[in-house]
Amino acid sequence: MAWQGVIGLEVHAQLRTRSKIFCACPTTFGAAPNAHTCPVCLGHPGALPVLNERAVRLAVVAGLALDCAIATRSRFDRKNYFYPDLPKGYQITQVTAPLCTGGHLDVATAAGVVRGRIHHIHLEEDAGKSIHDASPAGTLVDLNRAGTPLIEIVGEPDLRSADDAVAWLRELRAILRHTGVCDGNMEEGSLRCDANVSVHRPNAPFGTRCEIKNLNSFRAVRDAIAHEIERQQAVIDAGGVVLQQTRLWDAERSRTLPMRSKEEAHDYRYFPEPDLLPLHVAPELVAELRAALPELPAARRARWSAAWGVPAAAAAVLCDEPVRADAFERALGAGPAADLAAAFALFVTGQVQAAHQRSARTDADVDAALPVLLDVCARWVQGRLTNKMLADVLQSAFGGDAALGAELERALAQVGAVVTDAGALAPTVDAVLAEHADQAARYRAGHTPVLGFFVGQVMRRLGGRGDAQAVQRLLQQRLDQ
Amino acid sequence: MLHAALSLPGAPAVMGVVETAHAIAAGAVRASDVAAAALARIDAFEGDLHAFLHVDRTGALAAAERVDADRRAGLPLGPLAGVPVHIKDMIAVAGMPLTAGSKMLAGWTPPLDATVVARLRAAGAVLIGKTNQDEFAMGSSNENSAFGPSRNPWDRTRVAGGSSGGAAAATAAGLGCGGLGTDTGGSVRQPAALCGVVGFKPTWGRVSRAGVVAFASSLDQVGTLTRSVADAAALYTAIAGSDPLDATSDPRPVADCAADLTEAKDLRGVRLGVPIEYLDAADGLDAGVRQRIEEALATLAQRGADVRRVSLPHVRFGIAAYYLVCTAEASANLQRYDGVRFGHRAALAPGATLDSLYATSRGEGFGPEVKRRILLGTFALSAGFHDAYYRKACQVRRLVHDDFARALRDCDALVGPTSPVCAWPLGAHAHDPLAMYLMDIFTVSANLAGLPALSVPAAPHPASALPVGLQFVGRAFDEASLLRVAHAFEAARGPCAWPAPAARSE
Amino acid sequence: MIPMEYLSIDSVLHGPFQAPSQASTADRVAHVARLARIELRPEEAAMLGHDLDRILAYVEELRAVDTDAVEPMIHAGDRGLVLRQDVERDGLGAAMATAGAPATEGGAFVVPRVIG
Ligand SMILES: [Zn+2]
Repeated sequence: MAWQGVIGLEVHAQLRTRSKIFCACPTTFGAAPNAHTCPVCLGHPGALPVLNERAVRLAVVAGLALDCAIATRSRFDRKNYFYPDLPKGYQITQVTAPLCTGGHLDVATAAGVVRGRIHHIHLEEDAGKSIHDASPAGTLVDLNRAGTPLIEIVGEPDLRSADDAVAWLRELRAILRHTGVCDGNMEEGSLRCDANVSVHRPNAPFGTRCEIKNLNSFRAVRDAIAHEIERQQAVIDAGGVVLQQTRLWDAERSRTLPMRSKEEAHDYRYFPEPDLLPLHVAPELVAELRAALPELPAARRARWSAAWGVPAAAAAVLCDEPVRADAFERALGAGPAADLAAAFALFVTGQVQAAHQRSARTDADVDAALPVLLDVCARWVQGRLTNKMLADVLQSAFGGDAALGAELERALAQVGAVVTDAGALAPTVDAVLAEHADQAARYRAGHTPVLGFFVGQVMRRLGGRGDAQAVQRLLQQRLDQ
Repeated sequence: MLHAALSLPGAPAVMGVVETAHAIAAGAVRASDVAAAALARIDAFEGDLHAFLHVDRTGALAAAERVDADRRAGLPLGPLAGVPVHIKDMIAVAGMPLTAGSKMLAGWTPPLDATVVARLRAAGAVLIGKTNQDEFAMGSSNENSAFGPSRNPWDRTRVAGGSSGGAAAATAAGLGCGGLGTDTGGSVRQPAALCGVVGFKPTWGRVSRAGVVAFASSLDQVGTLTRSVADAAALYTAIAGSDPLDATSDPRPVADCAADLTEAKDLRGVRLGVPIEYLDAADGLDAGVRQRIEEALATLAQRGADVRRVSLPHVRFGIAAYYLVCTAEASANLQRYDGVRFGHRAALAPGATLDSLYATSRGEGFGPEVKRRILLGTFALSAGFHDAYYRKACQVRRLVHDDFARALRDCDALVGPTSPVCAWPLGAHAHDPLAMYLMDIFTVSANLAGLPALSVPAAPHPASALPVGLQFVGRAFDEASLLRVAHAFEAARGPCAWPAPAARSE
Repeated sequence: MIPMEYLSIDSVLHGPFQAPSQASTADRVAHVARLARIELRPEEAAMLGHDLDRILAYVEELRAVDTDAVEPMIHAGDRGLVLRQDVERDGLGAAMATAGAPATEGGAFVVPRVIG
């Protein structure tokens, strides 16, 4: 029987707060080294942590969105180790009594619905940043990120393939974004993923697992897990034993490598954080946050499908980012435009997405232009824009300097209307037939495929603005005369 | 008599907190004269006592002059306006170096005031300097200060106690009206007892720890060292109360204890429990100390108190539980001293590893007692031993706490000795850490239970004439009652003698 | 649901208790000194090892205390945490943050090179 992968993800998500988890320093990304630091996040003698209320609320919201139980009493612990980006010599985290426990996240995959259970979600502080290659003097330490609020979402080993893992993580990100918990930006590190991977034969016990770190894109998650499953299979097939290890994903060479293991096993000497009393979360607050939960992406996709027939794949792409999904709904409004919804969804995730990727425009610019894009889509669907005209409009507008909406309107005006009127087409048709009298003769002699040649010639002269059916009709009329 | 023994030029310096504040507010004396007198006394005593690690002459005189200017301008004065106070070197004063008694922090100046310091400044107090202490407050004799011990003003061959030994010595010698210390296992009360002054540790959570170097967070509390209970109440009232910078500070309102001390000094109806484990059944309690404590109990009874025996069956395990809990917390709290962001960094050869930077810097920067406690605490938390040592100690801590809770249901306060012995000669226990730990036998339990406790001088030792401290332990967050009882005892006891400035070097 | 009681860290994370006698004094001191990142001179290690043995022998008395079903006490009192509103404020800034540091470069702290 074939080997099967067993995967559980551990996801660190940066909470969308203004200030850090235990001090008032801003959480803004990209400041000069140590610009956003204070005695608390520098670990100065005498500095004490004071927990950010919004961090607690966001963590509770994440727990509710993932069907966790919310502990009315939880506790913080210290995780002790020495590293330059950990200023106090310990990380404040939750080990024995986390804020959220249990829970699950279901994702639709090609093979059906996969349920990935969640063991728990806890609050913790992020470490700072060590920069290893910037200075001959040594490693540089920037503590701007130290104390950034995180939740760690610890998934059970319920996933069975790299694709399942990616689908689960993508759905998790969509939920965290929809609920305003995390911006989900993997490049800036606001969403980070480690994967616990083992292999087994179905119905046999799980094998020894390896933890893979440093997975900072969906591609890295997929590739690293797929490679790790293959690696473990190969080890076992060769008669070897998989060692319990922490491995690092090397994206450039597409392989996982064991991290250097120190001679001493990690002994984090966890104990309850004496500077923080137990965290009490009132049932009333939980009820309030539960009532205020927004529609989650799965429900939204289901609604779009039922009401508008939006295809699942397009809905998934649009609902990845709630700002996009909101803008999409706003553009459609409640009126008759909803008929167009399915086509518009395919249009936005197809042609618009492609044009966007080739341009330097921001998501926000595209979102703001969705009402105009809906107009473009409507014209195209109704045949008022040809494929060629559509491509021209998108290319011209995305390449322009002004706001996308304004550029689209300009491009629409420039491209003009499709020419369908026989009277307007006649001069061009006649001119082409006159120039190619020999080809006309061939058509009349029975070589009907020549018609296509004429259509192409006419369209070229009209700059793609001619209605293809009208041109063809007129050509046939003239040739059959 | 009280002031006569201390009369140097500038005698106002030896007035108490309350007396000085009143005199300045009434215009009887200028704040700058009080500050100058305090500094003059420091000059006279300091070479001998080594009570200070830093004296801020310029800052003290400038602050005093501001008080005088405010008074001349008719501006309202704070309740401690012009009162010269000292601050233990565990507590951050912006602009003054902070060492916590350790080479590890030599040369470091904190950027911000601790909350308690900001509150003293807001009340108008004049900060005269930083007092000596055992390194990171780990010690009972001040001999663990990296900068040499403070000496006892009553007998300079003896210890001042610890860890707030500098603060106790300074207070006894009249170097300022009083000051702030920190008490993790008796570090305010024990040196107060050994130096013959009042040491008051409020309830854990009552006074902000923000800006106070952490030794053991769940036990540490800022306290006061003064020459009277009324002075303790005045300083306490200025610093107590919740603080947004300390999440363990308690939101309950603070009574104005200074105004609350009744003149009646009557103890009728007050039930005082004497733990048999602290007196009748206490091992190692000096006979002269026992005698003075029993006399003090008789005095309390004469004033109308109902003095009764109680039992705290688990306090005999207090030392063991305390030294596991405090060292475990300390091992983590002291990890920030790593030579990266502040403090001592070892000079290393090029190419040295990060781990050698840590280990060498910490090996050089910490003294032996700090290393001993970090190692013990690290062990108590390490894999395989955590449950058997740290967690077990936390369980015993609960039993100790419950003993006190039970006793304080039937008693308004508990009373007994602060220290089993009087000040001992310098060096006597320097090579026996366990013997030194056992000196804390009567004080650690109030920290384990988080309760307010106060040491007030009883009559001096019948043989040595050295100070003896009487300890009261009260109910959580009822500092007002504790201060009232101690105040009544103080009045019944009558005035104390104070050490003479030249008792040593003739 | 994880209960609020402070669970046994060892049984959750580390496995069964080992009696301290299994390690020699020297090994124990070397191990904890390494965990605590404190370099000890040989005579210092010997002295501290001896002290540690004595102190650990003393605290053995705790084993006599019946603590079954006793919830470990971490803090005095039973109040919950007071939280801070999510308001941002400027911190010290890089210059002040690094003012007391032994080695800095461009506003960052410098430590010996760490590989990966
Ligand atoms: Zn900060």
